[in-house]
Amino acid sequence: MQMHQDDAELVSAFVENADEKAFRTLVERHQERIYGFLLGMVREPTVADDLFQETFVKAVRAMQRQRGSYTSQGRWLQWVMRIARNTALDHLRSRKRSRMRLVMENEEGLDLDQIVADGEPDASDKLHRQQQAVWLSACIDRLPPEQREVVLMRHESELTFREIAELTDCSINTALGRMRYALLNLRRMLQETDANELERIELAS
Amino acid sequence: MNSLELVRKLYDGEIDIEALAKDLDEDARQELTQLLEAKAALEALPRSRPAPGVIDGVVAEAVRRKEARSTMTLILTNRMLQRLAAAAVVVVAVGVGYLTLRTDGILPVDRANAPAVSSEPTVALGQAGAKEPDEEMAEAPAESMNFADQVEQKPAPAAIAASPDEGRERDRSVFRQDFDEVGALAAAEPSSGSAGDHLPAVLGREAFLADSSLKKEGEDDSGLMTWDLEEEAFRTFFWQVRALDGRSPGEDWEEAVPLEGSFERLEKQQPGNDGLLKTRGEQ
Repeated sequence: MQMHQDDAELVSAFVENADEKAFRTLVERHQERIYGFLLGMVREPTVADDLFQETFVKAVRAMQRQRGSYTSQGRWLQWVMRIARNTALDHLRSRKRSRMRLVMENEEGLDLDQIVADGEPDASDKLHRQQQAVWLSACIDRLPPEQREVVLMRHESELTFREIAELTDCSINTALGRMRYALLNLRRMLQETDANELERIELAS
Repeated sequence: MNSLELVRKLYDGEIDIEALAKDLDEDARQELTQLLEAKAALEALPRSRPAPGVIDGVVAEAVRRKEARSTMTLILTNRMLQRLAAAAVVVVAVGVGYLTLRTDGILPVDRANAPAVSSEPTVALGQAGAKEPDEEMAEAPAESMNFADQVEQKPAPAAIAASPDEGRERDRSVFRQDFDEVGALAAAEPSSGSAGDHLPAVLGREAFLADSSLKKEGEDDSGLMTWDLEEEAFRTFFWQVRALDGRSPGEDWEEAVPLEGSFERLEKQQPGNDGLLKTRGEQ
């Protein structure tokens, strides 16, 4: 029954009647979109779990106070995504120094293959699809923050470009342009990764 | 078609790529191919979910906060009601105590409700419609208050006077009337007490008349000294009237004694009063 209710009805059931099932339905319905975005932003599952929980705690607090940016106009996911984005950005700012160090290391010649090898020691033994996923995740992580954000919001959170533009405070054309550059960069990085992998296989043989 | 429109069409849901590619030039077709490859790779990424138990934790935390907020609201409401009840009890207790004291006569009766006595002494008497003090006195029922009360409730001289001369003259006439009535009282009730009981009243009357004569003789043009003497005479008269009314003078009696020197001036003008002055001074 609750699965057929829209977000606004579930939110109302939770806020007014403390309906636990309604809130659980809401969270489970959007867990992949929100968690996928958070994981793409921080790249660490345990941190993403914490940020996921923190996001919903903030959302619940705001809903209980009946104030803040939330208005029951059927855009609950977009509202929670804004909270998730701010939570992720706060976390990234707090570890900015270590992250900058990682970027500098990458620019100093630590190739993508090495990054993938550090994260997945047995990557060569896994299926090509799994390798592709890991490489792609590493490639997304190397994108400029604005492009990475648009990619995650579009592919993980399934937001429209209009919603992405509203969330990131830019125009739709800017969001489209960031997406275009992100796709072109990703393809180039994937090609380079494939070439390095091919070269390594040839050397090994 | 520019690059942005290409990206928009790429994510526009149902799209016929082959038909789209036919409309593009070679560069745009090449870019479309690259975009499609990257998009396909992104869409092949497996969806991530939070670790098992995270959602349970989120829901439990949300419910806990919701219940805590409800409990807190209830506690705050109860606390507010308790404070209101305590305040109401205090107000009732004070009210009952006040009424009890008034009923027992410990607290004075509210004179604001007394008939025919102006409760606004700041009204200028020369104003149209304003009543003269004498008129008010005449309208007041005789049994509603005794003579001392009437004298006590006269407006302050400073508030009455529209001009110093006018106010002074009016007060003087009122004082004269009061003295005459006191004199009549003393004459009508010779057996109500010893002869000494009425001496202060006579003294006050004589003092007042002496002060009035001073002003009339023009010894003090500024009016200040004359006014002080008049006030002093009235104060003496007032407490003497209270004594006649059967009240104990107490310590206030001493305050009502005229300033030093004023009696000496009186003595000079009225040498026949020596004995009376000494008698009163010895008290």
